[in-house]
Amino acid sequence: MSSSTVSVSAPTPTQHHPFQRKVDEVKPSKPDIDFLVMDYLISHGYPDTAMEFTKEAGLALVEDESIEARVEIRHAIHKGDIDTAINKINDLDPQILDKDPALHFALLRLQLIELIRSCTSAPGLDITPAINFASSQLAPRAATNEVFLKDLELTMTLLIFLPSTDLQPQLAELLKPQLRQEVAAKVNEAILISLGARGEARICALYRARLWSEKQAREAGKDIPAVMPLGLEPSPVQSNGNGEAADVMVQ
Amino acid sequence: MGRSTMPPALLELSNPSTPEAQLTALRNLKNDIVGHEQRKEHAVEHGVVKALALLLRTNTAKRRRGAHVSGLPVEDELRFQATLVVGSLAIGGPAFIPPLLAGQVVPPLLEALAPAETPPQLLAATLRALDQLVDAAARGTGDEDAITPHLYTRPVAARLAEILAQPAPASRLVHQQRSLAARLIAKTCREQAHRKLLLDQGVLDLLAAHMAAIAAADDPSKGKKHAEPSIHLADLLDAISAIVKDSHYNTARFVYSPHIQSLFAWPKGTSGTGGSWDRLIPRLQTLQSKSDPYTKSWPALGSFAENPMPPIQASSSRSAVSDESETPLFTWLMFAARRGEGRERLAACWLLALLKKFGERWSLGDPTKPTRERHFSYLVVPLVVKMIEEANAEKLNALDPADREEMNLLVERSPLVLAELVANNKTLQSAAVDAKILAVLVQVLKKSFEPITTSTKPLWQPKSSAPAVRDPLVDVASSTMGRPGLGADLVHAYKCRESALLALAAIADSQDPVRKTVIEMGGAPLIIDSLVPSYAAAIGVNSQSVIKSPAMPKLGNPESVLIAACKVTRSLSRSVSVLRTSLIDHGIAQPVFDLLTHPNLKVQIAATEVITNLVLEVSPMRTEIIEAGALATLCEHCRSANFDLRYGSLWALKHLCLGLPPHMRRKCLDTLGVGWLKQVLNGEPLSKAAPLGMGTPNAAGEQVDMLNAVDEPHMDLDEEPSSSEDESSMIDGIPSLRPLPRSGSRYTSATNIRDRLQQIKSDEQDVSLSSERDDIRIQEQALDFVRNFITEDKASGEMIDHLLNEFNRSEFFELLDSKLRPKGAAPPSSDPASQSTAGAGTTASSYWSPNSSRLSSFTQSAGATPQPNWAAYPATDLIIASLYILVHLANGRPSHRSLLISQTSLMQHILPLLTHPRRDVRLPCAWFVNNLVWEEDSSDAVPTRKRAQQLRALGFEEGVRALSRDIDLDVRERARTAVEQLGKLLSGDSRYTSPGGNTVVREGIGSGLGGFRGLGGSHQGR
Repeated sequence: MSSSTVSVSAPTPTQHHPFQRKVDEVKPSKPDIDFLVMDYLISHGYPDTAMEFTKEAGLALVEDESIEARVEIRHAIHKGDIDTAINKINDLDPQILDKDPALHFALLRLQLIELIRSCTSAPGLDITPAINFASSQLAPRAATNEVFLKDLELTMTLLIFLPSTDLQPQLAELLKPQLRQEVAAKVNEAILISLGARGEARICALYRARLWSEKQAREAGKDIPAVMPLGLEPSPVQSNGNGEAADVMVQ
Repeated sequence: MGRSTMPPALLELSNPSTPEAQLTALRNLKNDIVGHEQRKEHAVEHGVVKALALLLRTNTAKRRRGAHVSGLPVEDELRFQATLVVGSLAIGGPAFIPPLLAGQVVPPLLEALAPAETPPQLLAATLRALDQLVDAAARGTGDEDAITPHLYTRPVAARLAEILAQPAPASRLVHQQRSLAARLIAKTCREQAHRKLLLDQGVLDLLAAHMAAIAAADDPSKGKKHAEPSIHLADLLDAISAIVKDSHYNTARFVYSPHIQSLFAWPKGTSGTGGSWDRLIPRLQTLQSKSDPYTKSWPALGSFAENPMPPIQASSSRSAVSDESETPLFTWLMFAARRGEGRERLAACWLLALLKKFGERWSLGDPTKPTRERHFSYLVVPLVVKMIEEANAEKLNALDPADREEMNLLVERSPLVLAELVANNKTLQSAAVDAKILAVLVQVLKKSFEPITTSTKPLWQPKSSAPAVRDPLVDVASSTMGRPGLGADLVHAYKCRESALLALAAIADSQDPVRKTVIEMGGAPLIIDSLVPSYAAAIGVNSQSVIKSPAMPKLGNPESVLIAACKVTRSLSRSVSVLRTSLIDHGIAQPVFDLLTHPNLKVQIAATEVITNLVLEVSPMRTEIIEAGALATLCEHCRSANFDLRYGSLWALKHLCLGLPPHMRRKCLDTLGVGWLKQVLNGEPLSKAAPLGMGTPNAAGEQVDMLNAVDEPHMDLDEEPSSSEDESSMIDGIPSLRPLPRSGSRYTSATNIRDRLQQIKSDEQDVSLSSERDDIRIQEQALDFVRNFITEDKASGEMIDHLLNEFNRSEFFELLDSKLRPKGAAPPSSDPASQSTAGAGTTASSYWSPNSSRLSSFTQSAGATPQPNWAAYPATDLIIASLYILVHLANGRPSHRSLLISQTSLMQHILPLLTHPRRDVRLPCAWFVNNLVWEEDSSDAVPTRKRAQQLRALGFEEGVRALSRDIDLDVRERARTAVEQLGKLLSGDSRYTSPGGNTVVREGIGSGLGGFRGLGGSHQGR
């Protein structure tokens, strides 16, 4: 959330470039900025912050019935409680998973990983639940798609290696919280779309448009500063403001 | 897990213990079946549908009695979960529809569409479940959509209106409900009855209001607002389009709805400019001065990244186009199309196309045609073309399911939008061709024949499925799966094929080079493949796995594709050279001929329209088709109960008849039946009370009604209200004469609008008016048929004799007479005797009525008298068609000419036509006189001179002399020859004939004129 506090007027070496002067002339209206921030908070699921922000900025609260559910689902996924998450998603709208086998499979695989993790957490535990789950839930679906099958096979190898502190990077990936975060973000987007909203915050689109237009301008040889930092990069001076930076925002 | 969990949940559902336990079971069931088709099937086979219906229904009943509930108590939660399960089952595909319908699941869902009673989440879930049911049903193999009839009942439509009418708080749920309701309408509203129902329930007004609310945020005169462009716009626009499609009246109701009128009103006093709305789209005009405020809003860099427009200033500065704007409504829609993307853009373009069509018929202060064409060809057509290109270039597998669904929709729909946009408009057709769309469309067509590779493999089952043991207690109907239907991919391929064909048909509609390009790009074999009907049996019997297997055999085409393929074939066959080369090379005749007897009526009609072009004299396929037995089939279809088939078949016969050897022609007339032909020529019995309708008081009464529609004069009847593409070239000459107000009269005041709406409504919905119109159209074909029947290369008069023998001679002339005289001028027509048997003499005297007094004065002082009241005459096309019959009759033997001249009444009624405002009427008149004074050989000299004298006595000498000063060259030349000949005959020098002049006349009649009407006129007419 640090992005919303970034100061636009951070001193940069390009301050006196004619383009920069033009930029300075543009005064973004406060309602516009507030709208963007609010939009981000709502769509990425920060109800409390949104509430606070509403009070601070004196905005009308946009009622969004799904926000609580989305927060709960995200927490459940982050926690590894996939069963609850799937339950809640299906309560909102079963077609989210019904029509998106890939997302469904990703969730079920997370659930399998958790099962494997728990039944291998101590030696001598029964691994049957994990195997049962894999054969009843994932195996049928894996047969429909090559990618699913590979993913399942990879996941099942965890059963062999766990517990271990020295996993292959490929396998270690599966246990990292990042995987959960990725899936949670996809779920959030899918829910928003199913509810007839935009899948991502508008600022993401703006950010991409910004990168795209800079690229276009450079290709066309327009007179713009050599470096145009957005202030989102870890160290603004070094970053050249293209490509990779997108991940910071969009993650 | 898996299968094993199913029975307990189902057990609980069929034998509920407590609501809570039921709820748990239901949720478990739902989690189990989501994304798992086999388990869905399993659940249905174990009777879950009945249990679901029970849950949905009992609670509805309870609700009625029960107190108001806030939140979601257990009962509502049960209903909610049951609704979700129904939706999830429906996602399983068309096979689930029959059991769900049999289990009576739909009625309680529809009951739940009450915003006052149903909690909002439940309402949204219900709408979504219905949406899924409709989607699944659409993929079924059955012709009829099983769900739609349930939706279009008065109470359901009223409930949909209620949902749309909900006030809009900042709640997403309400927006979502509206959006879902709109989407449901857009998907299902296909028939006029549906449209009327929704209109009557105020749905269209509500949709218009919501659209206007969204548009208001863009109003440049109101300053900037912070409302985000609504994501629901696409659904709203689609729903509006679904309701206004194919109905000018519905479109008018939309355009004149109060919300649209107040937002998009023309600013007062600034005629010709759209006021501030103009700023939303680039201005397409003459030179832009430097101080132009628009250059600021439209900087050279392009503030719209996706703006694909070529620089247009250069070309626009050269051609001095008037400084005219689009109407504000069009302007905003163009703006919305350019701003939006995906579905929103497509929906805006679609609505624009429909509104444009309306504007062509009922001008509403629209700009002139060039301005409109300019806006559409620079701002709309390239947008759609680009959309087609991009949607088809997209790698579908890389997309999210939601995006993929949208992209599939774009691929299917965008060519349809293009087809609608360019229909009947050469400029826009050229714009599309210039944007290089043809290659893309042919590519889409080609791709639709590729075997489907992305087929989904079936889920793996842990255990081999045991043979299902049926529980005898389970209701059979609601637990038996239906047919699997077609795979989604296959349905998509069919839709792509259909829309690409329709787009090609629309673009190749009028220009030969375009048709050739389509052929050069390899379109022909693909089109031929699209003409092969499917073997319905193959789909029915096959199991799901076979359908989905990638090695799927060619299944042929569903009816919609067949119709589209016929349309494109018809467009292409208008080119004689294509007809003579590519189409015959690819053997188009047989597949089209086979479709003539396809079980589906619409396919028959479409095939008939192609045959019409294929049986022309110039067509090399003619013999093949005749030998295949087309004559008998067409004659049989002429007796069909369906007007379009009757009409099309008669048209085809008319073409077929020309150039047929005499014995075949006789056979044709016999098969068709003289009695039938008479009936058609006299007016359709269906629309008239009396068998000899034209002159009956009843019919006369109807005429009066029609004439009272002041702004709706006769010539408009020539034009079909909708789907007029068929006749496009037949009416080419007419628009210039259309007396509709093109501009200036903007219908703004309430009474004006009401009058206008009433006028449009009666034009469209008045049964007697439309049957009148149909009647005229088919009469025209019948007259043309008679004309072609008697047309001969060598004027032996053989066919004329045959015709006059088959018809009662006096009846035949009276029939022609009735098409040539003003309608009111036949008072004795109430006397059936004079109608059917009266000879020329008796009728002539009885016509001595107001009109004929004018006629006599006309004879005395040719042309100086006021014009006859043309509005009282039969439709102009009937006059023309009848006149050409007379021209050909006069081209027979000398005895025929004498016979004609002896028809005094007829001749007297022809005379005023010499002054008709349309050259199309005057030209055959000139020919007619010309032919009458033709001298066959020396033995014919005396009779010819007698004829000339009779003509002079009738006043034709004066009349034709006036024609020899006609503004039209053709008419003038023809009349001059006639005057010359008359002069010679009457001056006594009958032996002198100018060989040169006569040769010209002969040729003109034999091939030039006969050919002109017989071929030129109707040849390109399909």
